[in-house]
Amino acid sequence: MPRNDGLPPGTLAMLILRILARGPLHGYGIAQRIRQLSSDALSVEEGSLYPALQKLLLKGWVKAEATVSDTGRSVRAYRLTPAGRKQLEVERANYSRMAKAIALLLESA
Amino acid sequence: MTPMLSLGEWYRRVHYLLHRRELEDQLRLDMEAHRAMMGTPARFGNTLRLREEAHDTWGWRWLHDLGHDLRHGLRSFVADRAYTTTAVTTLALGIGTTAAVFTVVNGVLLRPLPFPDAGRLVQVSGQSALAERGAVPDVDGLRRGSGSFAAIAGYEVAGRYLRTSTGSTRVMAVQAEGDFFSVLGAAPRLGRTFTASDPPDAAVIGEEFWRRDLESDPNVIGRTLAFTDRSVTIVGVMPRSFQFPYAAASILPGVASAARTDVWLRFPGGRVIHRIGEVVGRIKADVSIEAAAQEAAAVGDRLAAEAPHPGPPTRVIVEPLADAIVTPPVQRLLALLFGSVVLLLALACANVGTLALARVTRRSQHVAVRVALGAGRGRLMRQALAESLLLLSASALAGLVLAWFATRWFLTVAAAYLPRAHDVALDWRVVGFVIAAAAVVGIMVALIPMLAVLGARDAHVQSSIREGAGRATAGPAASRLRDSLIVAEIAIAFVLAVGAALLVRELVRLKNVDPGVSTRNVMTFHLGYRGASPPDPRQFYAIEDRVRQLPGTAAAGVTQLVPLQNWGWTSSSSDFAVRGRPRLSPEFPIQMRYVTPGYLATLRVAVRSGRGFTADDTASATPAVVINETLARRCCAGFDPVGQITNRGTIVGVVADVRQASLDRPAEPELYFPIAQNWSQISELGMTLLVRTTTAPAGLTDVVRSVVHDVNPDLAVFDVKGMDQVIADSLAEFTLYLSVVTAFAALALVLAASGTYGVIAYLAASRTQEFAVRAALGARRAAIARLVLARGARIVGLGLLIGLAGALAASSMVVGLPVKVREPDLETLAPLAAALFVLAMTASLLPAIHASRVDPVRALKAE
Repeated sequence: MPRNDGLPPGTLAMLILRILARGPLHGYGIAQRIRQLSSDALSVEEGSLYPALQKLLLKGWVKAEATVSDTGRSVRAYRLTPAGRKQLEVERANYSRMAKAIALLLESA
Repeated sequence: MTPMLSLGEWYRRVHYLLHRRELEDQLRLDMEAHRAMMGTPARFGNTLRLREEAHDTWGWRWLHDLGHDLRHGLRSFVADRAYTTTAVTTLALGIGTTAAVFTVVNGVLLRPLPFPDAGRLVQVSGQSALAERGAVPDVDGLRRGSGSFAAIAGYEVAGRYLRTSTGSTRVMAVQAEGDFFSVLGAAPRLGRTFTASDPPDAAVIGEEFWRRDLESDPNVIGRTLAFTDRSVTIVGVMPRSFQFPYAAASILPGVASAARTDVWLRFPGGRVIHRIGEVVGRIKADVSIEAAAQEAAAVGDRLAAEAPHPGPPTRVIVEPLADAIVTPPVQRLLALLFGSVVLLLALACANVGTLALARVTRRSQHVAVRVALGAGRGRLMRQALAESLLLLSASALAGLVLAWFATRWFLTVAAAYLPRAHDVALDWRVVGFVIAAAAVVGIMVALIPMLAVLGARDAHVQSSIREGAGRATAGPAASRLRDSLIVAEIAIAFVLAVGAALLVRELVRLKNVDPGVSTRNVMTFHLGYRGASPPDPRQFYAIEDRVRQLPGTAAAGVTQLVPLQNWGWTSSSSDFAVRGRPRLSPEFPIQMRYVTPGYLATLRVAVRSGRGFTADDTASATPAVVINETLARRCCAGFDPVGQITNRGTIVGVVADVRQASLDRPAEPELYFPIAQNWSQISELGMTLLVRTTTAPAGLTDVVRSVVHDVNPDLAVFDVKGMDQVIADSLAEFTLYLSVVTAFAALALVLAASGTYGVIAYLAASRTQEFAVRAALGARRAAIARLVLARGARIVGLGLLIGLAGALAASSMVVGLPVKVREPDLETLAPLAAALFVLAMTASLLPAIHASRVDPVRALKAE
């Protein structure tokens, strides 16, 4: 089972979907982007990233297509599918609902 | 795994499975690219692990594991070729024979009759002192008087002869009442079946006949068939699957093996039938068969009491059609057959179980190490399962192929004796049975030894590792079980061998019985006829004369009934008296033989005194009869029978006895008549021409055919075979039992020998260290070999003892079988016991020699 790298369970999938919402990207690019966007707070292990991508492929939320990287290597880029876009909205809504609930709980104590 | 998967997800899973290699490669490339782009030394662990995780994600882990286990199993089987070959062969034989017998049992007993609501179909017959199942005296009366039947239809099997340009050919015909097809609920393939209002010339034909004889004519409906006695018009074609009545293979039971009816006809001249040979009925839905039987019996009794000319007392009986077709003796026989074959399968299992146990014990160190390294019980079990799956798939597949061949062989020899033989086929039930049998066998064979080892692991893991494989034997309970299995195997093999030996002895005895006729170079030709104008007896004399003059022909004669050709009927009478002497006792049946003058010479029946018939014994001459020696002894003790005048004619000669009915029954009193003087006695069943040749002339059949056609084109020539074949056919049922029992016995012997070998070898191997110590202490090789052999001898001896008791007990069970055999005697038992003992001891000799060659140094070092 994928290790969570300190992320709450299921969050990694949401993050990947979020990154891919801006456009197709290969695996290394996804890991890079997560680190950049979180200002180095979150770093995704390869051992977690690829199993998570497999799961997204299985669910049909992303698609893999052959492409060429900036350095001229042939790699696969992952692209969000319409189902994936919908899923991102669902997860985003769920997450903010939960975050709000947790915040409420912590502050009211 | 999520219980409910979307269609898309299923699709993607399967897609993954199909393109696994490619997708795994891509994943690996992705990760390599990732690593390269990172530019830092990878913290990637194990790609293998990632790959397994990918399998997990996509839900195919189990398949991956199974593949792994199967490959592992395959490797270990290849490494242990001797075990694999023995196990697969043994199990394939066991499963194959069981499946073959089950196929027959399934087709004959288990499959319902192929008619809608077949449980309501009954056979109605008349039971009298003459026949257990005879004709129903008054079918019309029963039909009118009984309220239990939805419908009743009588039918009779009868040959018909089709006129063709080259003579006439016989077709298998059934005459039936109008309701026949509707009672059975049978639908035609083409056209229609009879209706009650059909004219008597309507005919329904069978698919085979349509295809073979009528070239699958699409416009067959309305076509006319010209039989020698009448013409009929085809109204329908029945599908090949419709076979009723079952024993309608020929006009005469037991003659032909290809069960088939060519044509169904109406009774000529409408529907008023008083007596009908066979009656099938359908019981109303709200009436039980018992109630219907009671009512029919009561109606039958009343009709008999009211009848103007009462016949012999006959009781109407009603029984389920299935029971009438597959009679209790056949059911018993099949049950016995199935029982023996299940026993055989159990033997095969016991054998392979012993082998597997020995093998697992040999590998127990390996298992113990794996357990110590933390291999889960489940994982080991799964692996054991995968191995047995492999073993059993191979065995079941080989068994199924074997079953197919065995069934075909069995049917070619047994079809004539087995009702519903054409219903026998490998179907889903058989395949299901094989799978179920294989599953049960698999659990017995593979899991039990594995469980034994795993169950013992807590206690024995450490000692097992420490002591090495040689010592790790199963507990005393397991070894007792193993010994008793071998004892049982030998006992069963012995019982079967005794059965086979008794049958062989009986067959040899029967083959040496003098039938009273000389069969070499004699061919038989059945001449069938049925017509408005029956042939003149002079035509048979003419055929006899012309055939005798053919080159290469020594003699020719015509008879109504060939000796030992058991066509299920005889012609007999008890009405015989010599003038001036007291009548013979009335229950003294005398067989009647109607022959032409050439008959006795053709079969070389010795004339003891007086003469045989001549051409002068014509219709206008004094009636002449010839009697056999048995009758001469009974009727004419103390005086010369020749010249005596009897109520049947003047005795002109006495001839030797002939075994007419069967080789194992003594000759009966016989009266021979010349057919020229007794034409009215000749039935419609036809005559048989016998031809003795000097050599075997090629083309005799064609020449005889053309002679017969010349004399009378309406006479059909069929059922041509040698007289030797007639005798062999009379023993066919016996030979069938013999081959089946011998096959079983041979198989049981092989199993017993290989089982004994397996156990003794295993026991010897497990005592390697002990033998080594003995050898080191100076024991001689012969002494060690003796130790092993003594163990074998004890087990085999016990098995033989039990087998002996079993054989004596079983001899009372064979009494109910249609074949008579003698009680087993010392002359049969002693050599068999000796042979089996030698066989089993030979099987244990190899391990004994092996044990005696133990190198004490190496064996002790291993410890």
